[in-house]
Amino acid sequence: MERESLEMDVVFVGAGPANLSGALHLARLVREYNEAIANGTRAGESLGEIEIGVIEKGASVGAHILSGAVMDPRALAELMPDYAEQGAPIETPVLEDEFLYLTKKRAIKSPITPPPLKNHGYHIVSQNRLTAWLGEKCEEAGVNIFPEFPGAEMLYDRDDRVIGVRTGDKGIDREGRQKANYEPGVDLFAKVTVLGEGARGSLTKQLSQRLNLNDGREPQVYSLGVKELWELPDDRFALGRVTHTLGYPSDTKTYGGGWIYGMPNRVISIGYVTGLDYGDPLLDPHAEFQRFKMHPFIARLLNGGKMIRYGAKTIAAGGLHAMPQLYADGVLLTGDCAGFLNSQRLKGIHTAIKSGMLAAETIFAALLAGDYSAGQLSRYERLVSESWITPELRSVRNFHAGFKGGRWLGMANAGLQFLTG
Amino acid sequence: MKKLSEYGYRGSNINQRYDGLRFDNKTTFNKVTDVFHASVGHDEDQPAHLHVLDTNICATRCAEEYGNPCQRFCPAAVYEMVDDAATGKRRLQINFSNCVHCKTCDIMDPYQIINWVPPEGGGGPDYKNM
Repeated sequence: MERESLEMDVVFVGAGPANLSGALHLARLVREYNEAIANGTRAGESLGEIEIGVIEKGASVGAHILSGAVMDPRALAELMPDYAEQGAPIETPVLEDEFLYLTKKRAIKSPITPPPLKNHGYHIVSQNRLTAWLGEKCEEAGVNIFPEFPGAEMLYDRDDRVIGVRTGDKGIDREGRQKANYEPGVDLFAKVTVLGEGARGSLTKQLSQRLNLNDGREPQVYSLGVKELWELPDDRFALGRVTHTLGYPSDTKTYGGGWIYGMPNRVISIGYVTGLDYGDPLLDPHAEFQRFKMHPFIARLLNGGKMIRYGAKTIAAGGLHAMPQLYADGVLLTGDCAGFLNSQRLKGIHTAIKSGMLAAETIFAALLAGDYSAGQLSRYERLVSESWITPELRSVRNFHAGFKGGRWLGMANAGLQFLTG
Repeated sequence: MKKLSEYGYRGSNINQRYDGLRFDNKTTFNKVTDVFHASVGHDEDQPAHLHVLDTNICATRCAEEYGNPCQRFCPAAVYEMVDDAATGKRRLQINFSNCVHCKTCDIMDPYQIINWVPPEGGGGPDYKNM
């Protein structure tokens, strides 16, 4: 069976908040530009129809998306000022902030919430619902979304310029033989390919190694978040309450912390983050989470409730200095696979959305110039450095690294950052 | 991640950190029960999408140095050391259909020989309200 190929203008790999925001923003920039040319308010030539595709390995948009999540709406408001009227599934403003230190038996409430963990004005969201909604908005704007199409490998020309992506084959059996439903992956050719794969993206890994995008950068550090949704029997945990914990069950050498967020219908999001730079080979992040739930304070909260959903996801927590080069010939990196998350605030949705928007602005300029070289696309790094993302990430650059000397040093380090940040 | 001996462990009990931990199925759950609640689905008749480049070291060098930490750092019970009835030896079994696509194995494997690649399209978790 012959491999199909498809020519597009821009292909986004991964339908997460970064890439969907990028695709949506790009579609709008092109439409507004073409309209301005058509009605004579802008001189120049129309870009014509720009084909924008998004491929996604999940069965549907949002199926592989998991987050805590408390979202700073700053970037979404820039992407879509009327997001509430447009039906964004954002129904829970943060009403209460609580910061607890857990000893083995007790929960000590901090009299103040450290400023980076203050969430007033933010929203408790289901990131997978928010992402599914962003996908609908993209389709309304004419973006083509292809679920069930993973990116299997990057396509390069003979000068190592990225020219697209090959999707994964279908219908290969466990021995590697073709089954009756065999379909080879499709070659999607694009002027610009945007990788927004999430933390430790598999194509990002291939690309970074081949083009040395990590040269001169600090090694990335990761954390793993393990999460459950619980239905509680009553209103014991208030809608809109945000609780973060430090301390038990992490040992003093391991970065770890818990979260509990009050969602609608007496559902809570509860989870535990473990820094994957831990030393103990016998540590088990899932078991750490189970221990967290056995703490008397947490166990009392969960008593009589029912666990209804589970998931786990890594995040890239290394900050500004662990970010790879964000561009190369024909390719840009967005969101978590590029390390845009703010690990101190435990937030990466707003920076992911913003990174996608800046990628879109870069691609729009490249389309106008007809130039997709690394030189042209380096504009993306300049836009990132001139945006609010960079000062925000700069102020937390030592946060996770501070925990390497142990929790107390880490807390002292974090405390200094709270004061100086 | 340090080796068992570097971290100060003695003996071969790889469960010693969590000796007191019980899964009561009310508050605490084992990984398999939790993974059921992630609605994970993969076509079982496909090659494993967790490429372990050298499984010979699992039962030997890795067991000795790290106690096969893949069994612990994976939050979805994908990696399991089992007794192979045919050879009488221990070997790595990869329960790839449990995988929630978190990429921890690709990051954490101490020998950096686990390569996570996407499985056939549509496979993976089906998160709802997460």
